[in-house]
Amino acid sequence: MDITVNTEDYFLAQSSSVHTSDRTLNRLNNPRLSQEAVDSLMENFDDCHSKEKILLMKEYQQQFLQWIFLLREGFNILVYGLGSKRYLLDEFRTRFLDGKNVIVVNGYFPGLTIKEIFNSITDGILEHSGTFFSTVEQLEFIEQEFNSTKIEAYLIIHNMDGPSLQFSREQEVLCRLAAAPGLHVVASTDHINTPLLWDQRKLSQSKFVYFDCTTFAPYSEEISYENSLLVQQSTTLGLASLVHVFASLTFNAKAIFILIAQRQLENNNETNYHGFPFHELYSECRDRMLVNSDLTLRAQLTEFKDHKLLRIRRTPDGTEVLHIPLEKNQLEEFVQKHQE
Amino acid sequence: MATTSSFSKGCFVFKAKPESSGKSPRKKTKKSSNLLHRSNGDLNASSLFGKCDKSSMEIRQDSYKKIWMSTKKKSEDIISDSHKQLLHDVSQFVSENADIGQSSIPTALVALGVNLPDHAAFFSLLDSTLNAHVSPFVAMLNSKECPSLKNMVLKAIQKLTSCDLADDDAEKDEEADEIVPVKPSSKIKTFANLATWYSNVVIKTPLIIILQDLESFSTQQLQDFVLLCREYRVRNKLPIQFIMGIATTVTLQQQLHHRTSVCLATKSFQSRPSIVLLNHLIEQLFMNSSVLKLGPRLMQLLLDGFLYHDLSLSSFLMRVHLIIMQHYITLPVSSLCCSMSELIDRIKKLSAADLDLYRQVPSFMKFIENNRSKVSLLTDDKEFRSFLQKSLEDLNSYSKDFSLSCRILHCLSDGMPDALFGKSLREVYINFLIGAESEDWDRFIQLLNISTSYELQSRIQAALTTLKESDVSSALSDFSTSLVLFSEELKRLEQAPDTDTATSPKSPNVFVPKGKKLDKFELKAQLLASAKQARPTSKFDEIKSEFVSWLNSHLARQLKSPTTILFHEVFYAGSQVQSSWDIVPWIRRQVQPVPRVAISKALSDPASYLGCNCCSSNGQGSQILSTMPDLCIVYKLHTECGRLINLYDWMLSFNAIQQKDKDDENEEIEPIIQARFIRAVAQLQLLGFIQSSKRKTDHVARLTWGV
Repeated sequence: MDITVNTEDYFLAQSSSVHTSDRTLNRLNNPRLSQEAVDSLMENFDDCHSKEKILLMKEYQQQFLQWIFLLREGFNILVYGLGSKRYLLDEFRTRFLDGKNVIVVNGYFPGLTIKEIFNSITDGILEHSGTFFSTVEQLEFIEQEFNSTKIEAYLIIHNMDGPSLQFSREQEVLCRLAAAPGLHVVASTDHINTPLLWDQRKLSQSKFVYFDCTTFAPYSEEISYENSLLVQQSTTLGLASLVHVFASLTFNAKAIFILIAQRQLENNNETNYHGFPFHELYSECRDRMLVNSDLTLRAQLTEFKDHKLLRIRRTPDGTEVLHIPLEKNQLEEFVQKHQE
Repeated sequence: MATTSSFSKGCFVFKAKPESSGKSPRKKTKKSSNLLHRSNGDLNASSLFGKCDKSSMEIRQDSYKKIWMSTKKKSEDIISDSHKQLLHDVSQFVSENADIGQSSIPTALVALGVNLPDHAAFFSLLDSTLNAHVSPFVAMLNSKECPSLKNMVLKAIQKLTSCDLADDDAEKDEEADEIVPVKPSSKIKTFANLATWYSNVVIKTPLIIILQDLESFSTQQLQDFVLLCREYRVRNKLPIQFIMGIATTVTLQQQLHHRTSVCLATKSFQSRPSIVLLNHLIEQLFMNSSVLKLGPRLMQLLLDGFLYHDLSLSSFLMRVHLIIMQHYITLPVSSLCCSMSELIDRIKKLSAADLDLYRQVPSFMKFIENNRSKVSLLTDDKEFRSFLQKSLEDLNSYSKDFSLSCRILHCLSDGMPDALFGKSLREVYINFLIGAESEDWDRFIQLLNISTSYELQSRIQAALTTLKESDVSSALSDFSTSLVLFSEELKRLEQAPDTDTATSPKSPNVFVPKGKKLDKFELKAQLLASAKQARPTSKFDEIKSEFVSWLNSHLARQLKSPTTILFHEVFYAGSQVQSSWDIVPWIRRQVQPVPRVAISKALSDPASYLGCNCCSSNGQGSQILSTMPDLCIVYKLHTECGRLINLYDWMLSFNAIQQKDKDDENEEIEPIIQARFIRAVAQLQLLGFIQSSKRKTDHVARLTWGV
C-alpha cells in the first residue's frame, strides 16, 4: 500500500475552519457508560471474524522457530501491526521460553519506570543483592554482567511505545539493553509515530528484525488503565471525585464552592469571563459570614485546589480569579443537586 | 505460566529453574540456562531448516555458520584496515604532543561523517591502539553518559584511573596467582585528587580524553570542561589531551566560545567517506571468490538502504547477515551453496527428494523447455547429478570471470565522459549484474573509437595491471595475451611512426595546391569530393578496430549477467524463484520497515489481512461495510473529518452503518453499539490517530491528515 504524504494537505487541514455540529453526547439516553458497563457489554459481543483471526494467529505462530533462531544469532525481534500482540507474545513465551530467564514488561502500564525494569533484571535474574547509586550505574552493571558472563535472559516488552516508555531517554536505555549480547528482546509497538523515537544509532544498536503481525485482536488490556481512558470516562471521573470530596467538606466550605459554581454558571455565555475574582468572593463570603478573614478563605480554596476542583489564575490586569474546570452541564447538574 | 497482567506492577520475572541442588544458586542458574538453551536451540533450529531430511538441514545450517563467520571476519579486517592510516595519524599526533610545554590542550578533531552507528567500531579500535602504543590512560566519554558537568568529570577521572588499576592487576597477576579484587579507587573524585594520583604514577604518559560525539554535548558543559582541564594542565602539569569525534562539518568555533577555543591547539583529521569503504567492502565480499553472492535485486535494495537511508556500514553488514541466514533457511536448494572443493561430496549425499528440488529451480526448468533433448535429466538421477556438478562448476568459474571482466571494463572505461557504467568498480559490477543496456555498450565502443593512441595505450596498460594482480583462470588467460599483443603493437606504432602518420601532416595541403588560388566554390567542391573519398586507414586505426572487434566478441560475452546462467539461484541470493523460496520481500521489510503502512493498510483494507470475502471492498478503498471490524469502520469514518471530530455525530454514523440492514430508522443507539464505539475510539487513541481535545465539548482532535 502506498502512503504518500502530501505536505500541502497538512496546511489545508490546519487552515480550514472547523465545521462540526454542536450536538453533545448528552443527547444519548445514557451519555456516560462506566468502564464496567462497557466491559460487560463487550463480553457478550461476538465478533464475526474470529475464525480468520485464529488463522492469522496460527500463521504468526509458525514464525516462532525463526524468532528463536534470530534471537540466538544476536538479533532482536520487533512485532508491529494492527491489533493487540500480547496474546501472541505470551504464546511465544509459554511455548518457547518456558524454563528460561524471562522478564515481561508491560509498557502500557502507566506507573512503569525504567528503574523497575532494571530492578527486575538485577534482583530477579542476576540475583544481585547490592544497591546502586544511580540508574546509570545499574545499567552499566547489567551491561557488564551480560557481556562477561554467559547468562542469558529474554526481555519481552509489550508496547515498547507505551505511555511511560515513549521518551527518548527510555528508548535509549531499552536499545542499550537490546544491544547486550546475553539479553534478547522481543518487543511490540502500536503507536503510528513510534519510528520517530529511534535515530540511526538506536536503530543499529537494537538490531531489530521486524515482523508484521497484524492480529486484529482487541487492545482490551492495553486500554484498561486510567491513562488510556477516553474523554467519556475522564469527565465522569471528574464529577465523581467532586461528589466525593464535596461530601466530606464543612458547611461553610460547601457554601463557598456553590457560590463560585453559581457565578460561573451565570456567566457561562460570556466569552470574556475568566473566573470569580478573589476579592469579590471574599467580600461576598464575609457578607454571608462564611469566613472571617481572607486567610481562612485561602485555606479553604487551597483544599479545593489540591483536589483539582478549582483553578486559580491571574488575569492580565493582575486580579486573581477562580475557575472550576468542569463542563457546564455537569456543573449545572451538580449545583442543582446540592443547592439546598 | 503465571499471568502477566496486574494493576500494581508492570514487570514480571520468570527465573530459569535450577537443575540440581548443591552449588551456589548463582552458578546453578547459569549452567542450567545454558544447558537448556543448547538442547532446545538445536531442536528448534532443526525444525526451522526442516522440510528436507535431516542431513540437508544440517549441511545448510553448517554452511550458514561458516559463510557468515568468514564474511564477518573479512569485513572486520577490511574495516580495521581502512582505518589504519587514520589511527596511525591520530596516535602519532598524541605522542608528538606528549610533553607539557604548551599551555593549550592538544586536540585531535576527527571528522567521521554522519554514519553514527559506525563510529563505535572506530573508537574501540582507537582505544586499543592508544592503549597499546601511546598511553594506558584513556577515558572514552559519550554525551549519553555525561548529562552534567559533574558526571562528566567523575566519569573521566574514573576511567582514567581505572585503566591504571587494570594494568596493576595484570602485573600482580604475573607476580602472584592470587588476584585481590581492588575496588575502583573511589577516593579519586576531583581533578585535585587526580593530580596527586598522577604524581605517583611511574610512567608519565599523557592522559587522553576522548569525546565521541562532540555535537551532542551541551555547549556550556563542554566549555566548562575544557576550561577545567586547561586549568589543571597549566597549574598541576597534568598532560591532558583531547580527541574529539565530529559527525558533521560544524567547526569548533561555532560550538565553543572564542575564550574556550583558544585553549585548544587543534589539528583536524578526516576519515575516509563511508561510501568508499562500502565500495571496497562489496568488491572484497562479493566480487572476489566468495561462495554466496548477492543477486541484482538484493544488491539494489542494500544499496538503496545505504545511500538513501543511513550510510552506515554496520547496518549494511547486519542486512548481509540476515540475507545469508535467510538464503540458507528459506532456499531448500542452498545445500550446494558451498565452495567447489566440497561440491562433489555434497552432490553425492543428495537424496532423490533433494534432486527433485533442484529440478524445480526456475533456470533449470527454462533450460529443459528450450532443450527438449535433455528431458532424460528429469528422470535419470545419475545423469542429473553429473549434470548438476558440471553446471555448478561452470557457473562458479563464470562468476569469477565475470568479476574479472568487470574489473577490466572498469579500467578500460575509467574516466570516460558520462561515466557510462559508473565511476567506481562497484557501480560497474552492479550495472552488469542487473544487465547493462546495449546503448551504453555502443556508446562505449564509439568513445573508444575516437580515443587517441596514447589514451588507448594507458587504458590497456591499466587493464593489464589488474589482470596481473588477480589470479587468472583458464577462460581469461587468453585475455591477457590478447591485451599484451594490442599493447605491444601500439608501442611499436609509437616508436616507429610509419608512412601513414608521416603523410598525415601533408594532408591539409591537398586542398590548396601550391601557387594556385582557389575560389570559394572550387574549394567547397573539392572538400566535398575529398570527404566522399574513404579516408586512408592508418595502422593505428587498424589496431583500434581489431581491438574493438575483440572487445565485442570476447569481453562482451563475459559480461552477460551471471543471473542468466543455469542454477544461478543456488549462489546468487535473492534471485527470481518461486514465491515460497523468495527472500526478497522479507529482506525488503527489514531494510525499509513500514509499521505505519501496515496499520493503515489493515485499517482501510482489512480483507487483505483477514482474507475474508465479506470485507473485500473490490477496489473501492473508501467503501465502508458493516461487516468490517469496528475499529476499521470507526477509522474510515474519522478520515472523512477535519481537525476536530464530534463524538456524538461520529457515533451516529457508526450506528447508521451498523443499522443499515435493518429497516427501522430510529435514532436510538443501543448500549452495545455505544460500547463497541467507545472501545474502538479508545483503540484509535492508543494507535495515535486521535487525542482528546478541550476546544469544544465532546470533541476529539484528529492527529493525522491526508491519507
